[in-house]
Amino acid sequence: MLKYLGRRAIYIAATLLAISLVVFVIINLPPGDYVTALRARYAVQGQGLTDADVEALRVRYGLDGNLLQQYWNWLTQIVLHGDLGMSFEHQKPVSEVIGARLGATLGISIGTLLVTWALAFPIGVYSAVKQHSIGDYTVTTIGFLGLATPNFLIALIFIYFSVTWFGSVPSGLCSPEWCDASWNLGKLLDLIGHLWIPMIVIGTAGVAGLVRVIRNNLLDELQRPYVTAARARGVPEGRLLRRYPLRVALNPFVSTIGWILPLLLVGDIVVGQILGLPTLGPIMLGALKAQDMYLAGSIIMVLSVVTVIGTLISDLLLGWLDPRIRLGHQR
Amino acid sequence: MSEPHSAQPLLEISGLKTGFDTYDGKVPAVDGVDLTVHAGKTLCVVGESGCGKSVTARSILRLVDAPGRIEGGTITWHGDDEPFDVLSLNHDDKRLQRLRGGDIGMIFQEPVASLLPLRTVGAQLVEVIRIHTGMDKQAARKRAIELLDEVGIPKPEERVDAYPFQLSGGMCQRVMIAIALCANPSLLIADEPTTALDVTTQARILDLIRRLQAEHHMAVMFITHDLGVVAELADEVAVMYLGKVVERAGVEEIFADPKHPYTRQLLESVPVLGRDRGRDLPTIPGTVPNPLHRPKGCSFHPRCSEAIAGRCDIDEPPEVVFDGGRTAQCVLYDDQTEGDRA
Repeated sequence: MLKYLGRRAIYIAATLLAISLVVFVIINLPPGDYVTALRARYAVQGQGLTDADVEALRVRYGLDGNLLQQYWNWLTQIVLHGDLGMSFEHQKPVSEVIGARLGATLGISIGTLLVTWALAFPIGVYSAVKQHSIGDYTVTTIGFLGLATPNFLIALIFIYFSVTWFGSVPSGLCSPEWCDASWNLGKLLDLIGHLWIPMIVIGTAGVAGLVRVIRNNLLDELQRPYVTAARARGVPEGRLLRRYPLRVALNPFVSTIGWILPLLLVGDIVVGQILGLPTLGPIMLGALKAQDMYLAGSIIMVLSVVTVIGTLISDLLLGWLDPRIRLGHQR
Repeated sequence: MSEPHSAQPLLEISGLKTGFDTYDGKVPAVDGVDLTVHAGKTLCVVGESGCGKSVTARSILRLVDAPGRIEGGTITWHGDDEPFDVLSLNHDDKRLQRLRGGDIGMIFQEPVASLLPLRTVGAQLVEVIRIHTGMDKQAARKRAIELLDEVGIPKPEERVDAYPFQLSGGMCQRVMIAIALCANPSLLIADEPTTALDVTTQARILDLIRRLQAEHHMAVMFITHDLGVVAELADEVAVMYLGKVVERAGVEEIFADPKHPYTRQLLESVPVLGRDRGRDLPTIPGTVPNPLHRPKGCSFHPRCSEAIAGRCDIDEPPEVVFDGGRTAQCVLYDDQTEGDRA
């Protein structure tokens, strides 16, 4: 087991190194850099930047060395000092920019995830057990609609109705009067009052997708010979469903952890933008647009690390849950 | 049957109809089957693939999944003092649950797939023992090891913690038999239990079933398409064709004097060592018709060399009862036909 973990750790390090290289190259691929972008913005606002200003900025941000050198600086800073670098755009260390939004992001994401699971799981099981019933058809139809409708469209619809009915735009996670207040019951209630909108908007597609996954997995398992055999032995129906097909159908579920973790961190980028949520998604979008390379690179690196760790966790969990994986090599 | 009334009937199937609703129409997989399993005896049900023998077996324990549905008939269980119709029980009736795995054990064609891959064979055995006997965990585990030993699994105290995928097909079938035996059933239904196994394993499993049958005084209902197995195991034989039992008789009678043309042709198509050297094996002409488009009259008549035009292709064949209780569904033994011939 330890040997397995050690081997996996080496793979992970190698994977992350490769990802970091690719990420850095991609971020630097578009012509120009942060200063060029800054200059263009100033030009739009009617203020010119002199060549001397530009040169000073380039030196200050270390943008003149070659790409490999910039990459090396960035990487060694992260690995040796845990320093993610400065965000040019926000004029703050990257870790501060990310840290400020991490709480809200995780809050929304985990809340949404729990609601998604809590809804999708029973619906999916019902839909599979009662296949071809009216309930199943209804759920499947709504599911297709939910899958086919982009989240941002649902967000826009929400805004439209909110404006026509209440005359206000649902934005952010708190009302202005509570935003700067310290934590108390009032702020918590206000937060909950805001939280349900992104939850519904982001959760719809998630529920629809997950219902289909659970339904299909379970339908696959329900017709296996071991289900009939267990029934023939007199295993009661409820116990049969829980301990036999459902138990097997859960395994593919566990393997989704690898890509759910990074989603949790960023949140839905477009929805975050539209609803003005204080999550990491809009920050990442802004960083990419402004060619704020340390910020963008850091977010993508963090996501990669989380993805790789998530995959490791799901592999370990699968091995624990499924003896075929754990003991497969003994055959 | 050689001794038709010496044994009590244990299970009586009468007029069983099980159909499957498909997009193309209703497939009558089992179309009015009458069968009797006698206590302590072995009934072999033979027939080609798709003749409805497995569906008949599954109907007994109400294991037919949608889109299949049992549409009629009765299945009477005589194991209790008061006989009752299995088909009249509700799906959640405790009696049905006790019947499944308690009074009737069942084993299947794919032993490895019939066990849950995620739990050890011991855990699955213990579960069923506890359901049917109410033993505590430790006693059940002890009993599980005893059972594994009884079905001939070497080192049972180690194998009890093995997962199904770590055992061979033959071993898994032994585990299935152990599970089926755990509540001392009076009937074992074996649905082609050796089809997926290699020949030597097949023979050992058959020996095992025969030994256990004698020790436990069980009746066995054995579904197979292998006439060699029939000769080895059966007391009584039922031959099925397209959802109907075309002939029922004792095993000696079937092999010595088959009545139904289908049985006769089936027996002729079995190779005999020595005799058949260098010559073509006889086969039954044609193929089994699509059950959706069952031929009118006797469903075997298009393939039958003795079919009588104007009768077999029009009327359902009558069930003729011979001396000693054996039956055949064929006009050849009908009084009317005998009259015509005379």
